[in-house]
Parts: sequence; C-alpha cells; structure tokens
Amino acid sequence: MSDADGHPAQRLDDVVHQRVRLGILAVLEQADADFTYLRNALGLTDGNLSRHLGVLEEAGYLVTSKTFEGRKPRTWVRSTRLGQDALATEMAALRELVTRYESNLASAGDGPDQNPRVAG
Amino acid sequence: MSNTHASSPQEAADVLRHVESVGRHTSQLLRAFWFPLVVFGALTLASAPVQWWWPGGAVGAFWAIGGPLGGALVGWYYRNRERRLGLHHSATAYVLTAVGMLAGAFLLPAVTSGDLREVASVFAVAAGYLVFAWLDRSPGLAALAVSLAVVPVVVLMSGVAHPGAVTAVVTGTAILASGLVYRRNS
Repeated sequence: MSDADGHPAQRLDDVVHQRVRLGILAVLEQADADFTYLRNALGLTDGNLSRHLGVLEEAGYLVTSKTFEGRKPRTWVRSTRLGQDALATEMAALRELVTRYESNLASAGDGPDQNPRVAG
Repeated sequence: MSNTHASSPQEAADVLRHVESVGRHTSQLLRAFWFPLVVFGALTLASAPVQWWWPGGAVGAFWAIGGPLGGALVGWYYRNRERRLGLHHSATAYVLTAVGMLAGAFLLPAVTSGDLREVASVFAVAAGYLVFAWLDRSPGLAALAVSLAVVPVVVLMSGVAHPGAVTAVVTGTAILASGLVYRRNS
C-alpha cells in the first residue's frame, strides 16, 4: 500500500468500526444467525444487540426477518453484500494498521508503549 | 466485552483477534461432518456383502436407494442441528456436490470394464470428498479423499478376488473411523 492510498485509519468505516458490529458481521459472514445465537456468541444483552443490529440494518449491511416456530417468533439476521464488503474492508484496514505499527516499531527499535491514537 | 472503537494499534490487534475468533467459532459449529461420514461409512460397509455375493448391477441398486436415503438423513440432521444452534448455512454447494458424486459413481462403472469397473465409483466418491474438503476448508477431509482414491489402486494392483467388496470394506472402514474420530474431537 503506497502513501498515495492514505493511512489505513482513513479507510475505517464509522458504522462498522466497532468491536461488536464487526463481531456481528463476522458471524454473519459464516452463516445466517438468529438473534439468540448472536446475543450469546457476542455476550450482549437483548437491548444492546438490538441497537447494533438497527444501526447495521439502517446502513444496509444486514437484513432481519421474523419467522414463527409454532407461536414462538424467531428473528433471523443475514448480512448483505454491502455488509460483507464493509467487513472485508475494515478487517484489511485494521490488519494494515497493526502491520504498519509493528514495522514502525521494528525500524525505530522502540518499546511497544507508544500507543498512538489512530481512530475512534 | 468492550463496545469501544479500536483506537490504538494494540486495540486494533485485540479487535482483530476477537472478530476472527467469533467467526472461527461459528464456522467450527457449522462443520459437523462426522455425521455424514458415519452414515456413508456405514452404507459403504453395508454394500460390501452386496458386492461380494452379487457383483455387478446389484450394488448400483443398493446405492440408487441408499445414496438418496443417506443424503436425506444427513440433510435432516443438518437442518435440525442448525435450527437448534440458531444458524442457517446455504446447503446448495453441498447438495450439488453430492448429486455430482452420485452421478459420477454411476457413470464411471458404465464406462469402464473388468475389475476396474468394480471399483471405479470410488474415484467419484473421492473427488466428491475433495470438494467437500474444499468447501469446509478441511485438510483432514482432503487427506481422507486422497486415501480413498488410493485404496482401489492398491486393491487392483494386489490382484485380490472380489476387488469391489474389498475396496468397500477398506474405504467404508476408513470413512466410518474418520467420522467417529471427528465425533470424538468435536
């Protein structure tokens, strides 16, 4: 990646640049998941997960649908192509950030306690 | 669990680890291929007496019934499992591979002759397992596929009587044993 491409932090997407939302998209990259699976896999409360799903759905990164098993409703979540692309872009940017930092450390010979702010 | 942004390289590395771990865990939950291995390993073993006593067309009839029945059983198992877990993964690629494998297993004996005809279907099965291994990114399943393809070659070279039945015993045992090992480790 050349400097002309800009610092990887500039490619971070505010909607998904967040641990929980990336976790949601990472699960959905593997399979469609129901609300309960996502809540348990990510260790969230119902309300917290609902808020994150709402933000991602509004951005077009996932779609939710409701099915019924008997009289019991079940919410299924599926990522869209846009969501999959956003996850891939974000992960690539994060990997590049880490790689840049590690190579900077190696060339400077400094300790790993610099902790420069890069985003957020 | 933190809900914060990755605001430093260290945090970015932590988020990367977390996200990769969550995705990997889900992927591992979806890979329950011990069940199809046990089902089709048992079916292959059960086909050995058929090949021994009635070499030729009877084994075709066995698989014409057993193959789709085994496939339906595996499909039922995966659907129930996914419903229980709260995950849903498209089965299209797996179903197409299974159909191709079954078609190849019928086609190859039709275009070969002699002893090769008795074992030819195993090559189609091995090719199918190789595709399954690629779909599931499983080196273990790929190794099983390669060893399945080697068995009929060794059996034919050794010149044993009833090569089809012997191949079915060896490959059936290998598939069943692999399924049981995966079951124990899952």
